[in-house]
Amino acid sequence: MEEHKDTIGSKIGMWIFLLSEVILFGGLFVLYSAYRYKFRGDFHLAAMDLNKIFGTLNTLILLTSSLTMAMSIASIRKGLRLSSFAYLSATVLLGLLFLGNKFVEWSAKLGHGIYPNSPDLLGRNSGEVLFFGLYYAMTGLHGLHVLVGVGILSVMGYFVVNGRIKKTDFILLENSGLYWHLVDIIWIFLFPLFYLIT
Amino acid sequence: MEQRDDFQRATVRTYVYVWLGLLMLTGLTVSAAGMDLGQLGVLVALLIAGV
Repeated sequence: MEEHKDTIGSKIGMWIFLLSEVILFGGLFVLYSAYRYKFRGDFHLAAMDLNKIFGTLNTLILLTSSLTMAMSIASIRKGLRLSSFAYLSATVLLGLLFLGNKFVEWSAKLGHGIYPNSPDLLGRNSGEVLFFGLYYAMTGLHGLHVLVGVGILSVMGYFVVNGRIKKTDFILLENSGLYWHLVDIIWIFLFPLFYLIT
Repeated sequence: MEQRDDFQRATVRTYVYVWLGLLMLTGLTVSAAGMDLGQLGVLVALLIAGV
């Protein structure tokens, strides 16, 4: 018996899931905006502690990873499995590079004694404490999404190799790509809010 | 078939153009952040990010 595939249903389901993700991060963005409005001066001071170069580098990495993701889907549409796998691998590597940068950035912050409940942070103004609380919560939740994305894309790579994802059936890869683009878009908003607006 | 190849080539070209455009907008956002725009800074940064 032939397996039934509901491509449209699958895509609609993915969009609904992505909407729930937008609501999740949207709530945090609202929280950020409210506190920023209340503690304008403290947010200004705290944001100056973040490294713009790290933030910019990670933005470029994620933008490029979205390109390789789209190229991977374009390749499988043409039936080019090897090329699709290569672009997918590049996407995974860029995702790991993003996480590596985040690790170095967070380690430096922890080294400087800036982490939730640290004596150094508690000695600062309450707005600065809130800024870093939001910074760790929002970039941490985003980083978790990147990590999950890297895992999903690795499984997709395996499916491309074993032929489960192919020219005539690539909805799994397309939905994974949608998720990856969302993760990229969320970062595009996190970047200016935390790193650029001082 | 030839027509389809042209279409696929055009798609890949579009992706690369979009990518280059986004890189330029990132540069623009970082440069705009360096300017003192006062309260407008938040609006400008988010507008460019929104694009």
